[in-house]
Amino acid sequence: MNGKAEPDDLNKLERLANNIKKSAICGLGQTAPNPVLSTLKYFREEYVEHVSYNKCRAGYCRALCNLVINPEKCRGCGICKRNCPVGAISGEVKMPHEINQKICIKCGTCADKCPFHAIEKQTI
Amino acid sequence: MVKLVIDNKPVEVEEGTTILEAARQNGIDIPTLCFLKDINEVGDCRMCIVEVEGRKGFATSCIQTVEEGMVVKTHSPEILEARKTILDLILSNHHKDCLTCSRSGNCELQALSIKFNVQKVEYEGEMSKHKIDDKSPAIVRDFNKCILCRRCVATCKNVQEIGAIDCIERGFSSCISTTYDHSLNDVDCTFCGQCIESCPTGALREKEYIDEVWEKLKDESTYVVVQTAPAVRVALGEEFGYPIGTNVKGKMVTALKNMGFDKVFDTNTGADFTIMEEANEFIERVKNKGTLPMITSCSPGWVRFAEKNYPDLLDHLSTCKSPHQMFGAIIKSYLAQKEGIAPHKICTVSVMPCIAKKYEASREEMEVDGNRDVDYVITTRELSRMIRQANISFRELEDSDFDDPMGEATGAGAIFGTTGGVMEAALRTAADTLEGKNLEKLEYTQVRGEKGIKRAELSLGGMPIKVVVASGLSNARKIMEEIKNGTADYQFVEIMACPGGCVMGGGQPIKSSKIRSAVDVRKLRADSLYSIDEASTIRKSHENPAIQKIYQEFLEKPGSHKAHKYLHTHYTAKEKYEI
Amino acid sequence: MGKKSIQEIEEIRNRKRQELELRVNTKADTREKHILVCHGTGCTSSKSPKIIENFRKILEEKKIKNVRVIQTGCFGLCAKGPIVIIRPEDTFYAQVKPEDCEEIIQSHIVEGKTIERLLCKDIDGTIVNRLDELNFYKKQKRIALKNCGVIDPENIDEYIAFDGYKALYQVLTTMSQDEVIDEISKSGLRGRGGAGFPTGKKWSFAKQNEADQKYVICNADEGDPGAFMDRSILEGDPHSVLEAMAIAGYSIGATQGYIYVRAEYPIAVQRLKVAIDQARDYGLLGKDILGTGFDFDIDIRLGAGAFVCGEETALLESIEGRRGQPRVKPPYPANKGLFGKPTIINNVETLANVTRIILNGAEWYASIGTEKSKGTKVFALGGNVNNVGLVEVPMGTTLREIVFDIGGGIPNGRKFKAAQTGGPSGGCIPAEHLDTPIDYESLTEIGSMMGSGGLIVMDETKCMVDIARFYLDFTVSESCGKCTPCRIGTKRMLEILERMCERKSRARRFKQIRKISQ
Repeated sequence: MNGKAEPDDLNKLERLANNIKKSAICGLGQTAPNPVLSTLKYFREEYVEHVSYNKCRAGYCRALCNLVINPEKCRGCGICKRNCPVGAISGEVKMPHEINQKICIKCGTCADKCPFHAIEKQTI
Repeated sequence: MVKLVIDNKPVEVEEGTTILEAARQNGIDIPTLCFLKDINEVGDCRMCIVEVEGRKGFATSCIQTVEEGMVVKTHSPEILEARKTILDLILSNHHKDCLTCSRSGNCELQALSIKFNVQKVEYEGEMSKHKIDDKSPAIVRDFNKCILCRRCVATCKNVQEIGAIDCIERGFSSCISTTYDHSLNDVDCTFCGQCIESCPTGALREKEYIDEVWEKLKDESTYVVVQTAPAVRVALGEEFGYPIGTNVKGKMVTALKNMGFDKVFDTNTGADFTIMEEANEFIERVKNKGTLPMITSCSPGWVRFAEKNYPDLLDHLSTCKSPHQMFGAIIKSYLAQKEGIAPHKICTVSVMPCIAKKYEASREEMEVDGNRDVDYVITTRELSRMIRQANISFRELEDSDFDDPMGEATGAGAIFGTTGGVMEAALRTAADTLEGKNLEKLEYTQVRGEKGIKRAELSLGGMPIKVVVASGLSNARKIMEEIKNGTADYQFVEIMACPGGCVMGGGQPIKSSKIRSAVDVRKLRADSLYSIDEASTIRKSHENPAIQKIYQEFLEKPGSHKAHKYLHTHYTAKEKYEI
Repeated sequence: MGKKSIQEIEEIRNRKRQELELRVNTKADTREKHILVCHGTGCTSSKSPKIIENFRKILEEKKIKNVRVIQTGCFGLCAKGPIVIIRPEDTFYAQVKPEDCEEIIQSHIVEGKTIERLLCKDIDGTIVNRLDELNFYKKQKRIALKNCGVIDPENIDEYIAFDGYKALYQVLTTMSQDEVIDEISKSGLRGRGGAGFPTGKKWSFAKQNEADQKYVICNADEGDPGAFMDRSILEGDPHSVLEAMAIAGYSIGATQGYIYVRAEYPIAVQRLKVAIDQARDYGLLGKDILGTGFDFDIDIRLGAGAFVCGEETALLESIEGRRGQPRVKPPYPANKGLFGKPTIINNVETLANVTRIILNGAEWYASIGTEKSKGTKVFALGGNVNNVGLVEVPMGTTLREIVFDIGGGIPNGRKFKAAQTGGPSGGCIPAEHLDTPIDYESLTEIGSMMGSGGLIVMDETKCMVDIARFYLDFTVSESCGKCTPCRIGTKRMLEILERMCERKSRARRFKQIRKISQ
């Protein structure tokens, strides 16, 4: 990366945001970068975590969190296991199931299908 | 006068001048993309942004007029970065296939990329994908190369007042297209091609027939005949570095011969035929109280416009075919007989400044006895590409003349290429006919010039005649409304779809926005045609010996049954696009 | 009904005001009870029309004569909707269901007993009887929203009762054009649509231009996601906007006004139509208003689903029948606007303040707020906050006060992370700036902006990168596509943010590639 201290995405984003602000015709374009610039100003660490460590501290960005089955809520119905496109979930009927993080591609299908909302996001 | 400072240089310009013009007048070139003088002044592309002291944000120099005491900076580091980013963004949504693009070397986007030394695009991302529209015989619309400058929209809507294209969808999905994204073939496009002349990139271009023509030239059993329109010879040279309007007829003919055409003819001769027939038709209508005013019909963009918008007034159009169609019909009948070649073995190619001619040649009426009058139409631009493909060093060619037997053409034929030319040529013949003698008067300057509508009152053979010359479809519409409302008190009208006439046709070399702002391209090309006319020995169509011979030997006389068979046509109402 | 003279208007005013005293005075001398039911969009979608219908049906069945059921505009505490308020006692029933109507009539109206279970519970658990006992309302000052929740917006007489059209008459008969503009300027009123341009200044620019026609436009194309301030004013007090537009028209020399309202506000559109018809009927709009010789009429123009048409020049293009795309400024609309004529474009909330300023005086208005930001601002409070709803506070109120004192703090025991003001055009304010006073300059200084009034509160479960992505997603789909930086630039910004949220950022890829190649 040529020794740049910042990952280049952050840099590019900030420069682009500033240029759009100055050159757009109307208020919509001129202010569109504001949410980006203000969150960069006050929450830069979150951006850096997303970019450099692929981590989402709020536990919101699905692709950056582990999906974990809460054993207390899981009823072992097996719906998640049947719908997993990569076979990352294992477990016996009526027993708490488990997601293998090494195989999981974080598509979120299991969480969407679980009728007991037993699958949660955990920050890595 | 207003005094201001641009880049630390004090300048003085007239009130009402934009910052862009003021800068350019003083040697400072601010880059633009969407700016097209008097046609598209909207400030869309943001390339022309400048800093004005005391003002928040950047000013749009192509729109903003100068104010006393303004201090402008056109290339501060901030501006340069913003401009570079904007160019980068445009390029990020542009297929960078310059190598295979028909506009490579004459593309305004490419020119800016070179000027800004763009070596890579920083903000790559999703690109617009759109099907190419090449359904029509004349024009190809490739939105993948569009930069959304809207110059074409402004031309179609404000100059030609057709409005066949506009922006659909919004945001990143914005697309310059037709209503419901139909092909141009299926809406009210007249194929005038003015949009192509306005397009800075390769998003709009003609349907090419270069490969087909090469195929025919390759085929030994085919007799390939080419004819060139008057407007071509005063513009072709521009593709090879000659000043705008240089008459390169001699080299053009040599190039065509070198390319392997069996015969190289002059469409001006065809124009002489057109005058013979049209002048005769006009006099007949006047004598026999036929439908007046009579309107010329050699502009196929105009004809399509009339068929779509004024189907009830089609009787006003002259039944004459256009020059190259007439000439094509003569070639496949008279010349075929003379040379002893079967008509179906002849391939006629027209080099035209026009893309509507491609559509015209494909009209079902444009054939006689199963032989198409014209097989292929290529534009001035296509010819220049073919010349290059053939490794011909154009500038080093010797001059040569058109082929016999029909190589002669008059000055009257030559001026067809400019607005007012057809009218003037027709008047020369009509006047002599009505007077019954050879008149000294040749030039009718009242019908020359750049005005959109020119009106003149004359006396021909003792008859008072009022004539009108209109160019540009917006002016055509005005005239047709006068005829529709019954307020038309004139007898003869010349209408050209392209503003300025054929010299500014949709197939001519494309001039950049900067050149169009500074130079009167139309005048340079048109003046060249008038010079050809002045230098001609014969300047009236009916005095052309080749024409006289063909009438004697073949057509009998203007308006004869045979003349009608080969040289006349008819028109049909075309449906307008309904939502 | 027919055209009314000023004397007739005054007669209506006095008569109705007595009749409606109980709406604003718990000690009003009356035998009537008025059941006010919120009929704003929020409560409507929670079946408040059915509640109104049920009340009316039950009252009819029980042959109770001295009770009226009135539909009103938004009370503000949307979190507790549907809201029913019984006047004159000002009893506040929250989260009422249509099935509760029977009990309310029987128990409260007939037997005079308040229904405990329907009373509103404050955040700390205290049960309150009356609206003004709630912490939610204590720090608010309802000026623009003064009539919302008090009057029936579809009854012009009720508007007249509470000083309606009094300001217009005052202006037309006792004030010159310059005096009106002066008064508005002195009040310090600034555009509430987001930019905060001084309203008096804008009007004076338009007045200075000579033209055969001028226009007054009300920008009711409220597009910010989560914002419903303008909607509530239009639904609850449409006449205040009409009256203000007429006043503005008089001051700049315009005889025609347009209200450009988004089609996605059907209730607001309906209320406006009714209000305009009623005003025209009384002769308060149209030719020779109140016999003063002043002509002014208003027509509605509907939007068609484009956020960008909230931008004033795109709005002008839209009214002119063209594609809704902004124009390059200058020229400014006050000089060259609708159809090339001098035009002023004002936000709904800005206009709603005009009659109050004329009637109470510029000094009164200027005494509220801060030095550079006068008056109050309406906010649509939403997100991770307990008291979701519409609030109106004096400028200078701190963010902390709004979120915690008025908003009741963050639910589920979570912590405040940030507040977003200004919607897709605004910025996030972190916890360290909670004590920032809300005014135009202070917000801009910390990197945000006032905006139109959307205020979204976020707790620690919100990812700030995703918040930026969310707003940019909106902007990208709403961009008109005219200029390069917005059309392509915002899309590219969005792509970068999406990469960040989907673990495709360049840095990681580079690290991976480097690792593989070692």
